[in-house]
Amino acid sequence: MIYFDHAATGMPKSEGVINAVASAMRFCGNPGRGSYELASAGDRALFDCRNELAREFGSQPENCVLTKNTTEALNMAIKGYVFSQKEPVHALVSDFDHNAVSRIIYDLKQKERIKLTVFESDLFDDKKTVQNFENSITEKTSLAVFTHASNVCGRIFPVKEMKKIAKCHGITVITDIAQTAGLLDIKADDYGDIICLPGHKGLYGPAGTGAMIVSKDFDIEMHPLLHGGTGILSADMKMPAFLPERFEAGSLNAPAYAGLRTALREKHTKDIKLAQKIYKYLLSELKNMRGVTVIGAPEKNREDDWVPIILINLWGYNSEEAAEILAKENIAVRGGLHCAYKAHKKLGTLKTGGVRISIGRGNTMVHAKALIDTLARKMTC
Amino acid sequence: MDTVIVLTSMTYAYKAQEILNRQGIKNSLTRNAQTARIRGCGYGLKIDACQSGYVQKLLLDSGIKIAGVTEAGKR
Repeated sequence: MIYFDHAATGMPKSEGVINAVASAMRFCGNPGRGSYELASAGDRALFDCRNELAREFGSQPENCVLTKNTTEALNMAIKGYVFSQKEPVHALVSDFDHNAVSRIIYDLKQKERIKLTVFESDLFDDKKTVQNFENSITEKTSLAVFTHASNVCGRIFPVKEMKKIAKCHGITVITDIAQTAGLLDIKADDYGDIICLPGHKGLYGPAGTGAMIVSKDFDIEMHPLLHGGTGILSADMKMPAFLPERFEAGSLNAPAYAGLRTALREKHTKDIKLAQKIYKYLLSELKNMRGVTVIGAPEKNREDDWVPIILINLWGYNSEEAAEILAKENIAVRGGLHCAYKAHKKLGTLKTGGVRISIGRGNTMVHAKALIDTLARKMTC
Repeated sequence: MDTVIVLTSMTYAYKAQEILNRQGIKNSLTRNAQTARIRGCGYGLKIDACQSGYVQKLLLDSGIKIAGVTEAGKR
């Protein structure tokens, strides 16, 4: 199998990560539930994972809330903020959000907890995106939710610049870094008051891992999404007021976070330059291939403004059909709408969807050439 | 005689332990009756009572929240 679906989850996981999970399943008890050896090993796995997250994203371990994915982190952050406010919140969101943002916002709008403005992102001009964001701010705006890179076409948006403007207006910023964590150098405070990330995509940790990282300067006591046992302050019926326990009710998946800890430790040993080289090669070939339309891609020499994701359509095929054809050739890509209705609407691919080719750590130039050869063969049949 | 510095959470307990280890201060993590009495289930760091003042200052200076201080073994 040639795997080009790294935007869904990074594959393959390393032997180190697999071994860390297996070892923790043998030797970790329930974290925070005792001082005996097994529980302490569970505690240690969680703390080490937080420590590695803090190191990677320039934070502190207590500010790293462990979640099961980016979606859970975004739910905690957005709902946590909105439900901590007495009045409905005026929020700004982009037109490239994943449903992990859009559906939360939709629900809060239905409940009349949010008043919404969608600002327009420009695919080719960062200045316009920043200007559109700034023009959308009103004196009532108190929340902005940014998508760092589109999961559909890979465009990286100018979040750092928009965050600076937001802070001048006292706006809370929550950023979805699902497609950039592990690929770009991200320091949490530069990108938001809260950043939400997956452990299993660009960081190559186990499925079912993610994090919500809260800036140390963010002083709003957010409403917790979950309530339950934390292993501390058991006589108090309120959730703890401090991080990370405020958001971590119930038993945590220590083996998975032990795997994420190892993935984070291994990260600096992995080269992502090859993925960028493959991306440029595929882009160049696909743009010139008969029967293939490339959507939302950079012009030559602008590739660094995109993460290695390419959206294409094959003439005469629905995207799901095209993905199925490639699957029969043992090539894994993803068709459809990629849980991002708004992005496809913006790109003009709402009816057809698109075939997403996402490149990652395990890919080689041999894989890339095999994909090009297969597509060329299919499109000349 | 030992003293238990009670921390607000497991995360702070481990962070505090790292700070003490870096300074070469002998300590051990505990989760016992003393910590429970102060916080209703919690974590503490057992240290030599002679170092209690210095350790408390070190931890506070490092941004660690201390929930309480109690004598080890006291019921």
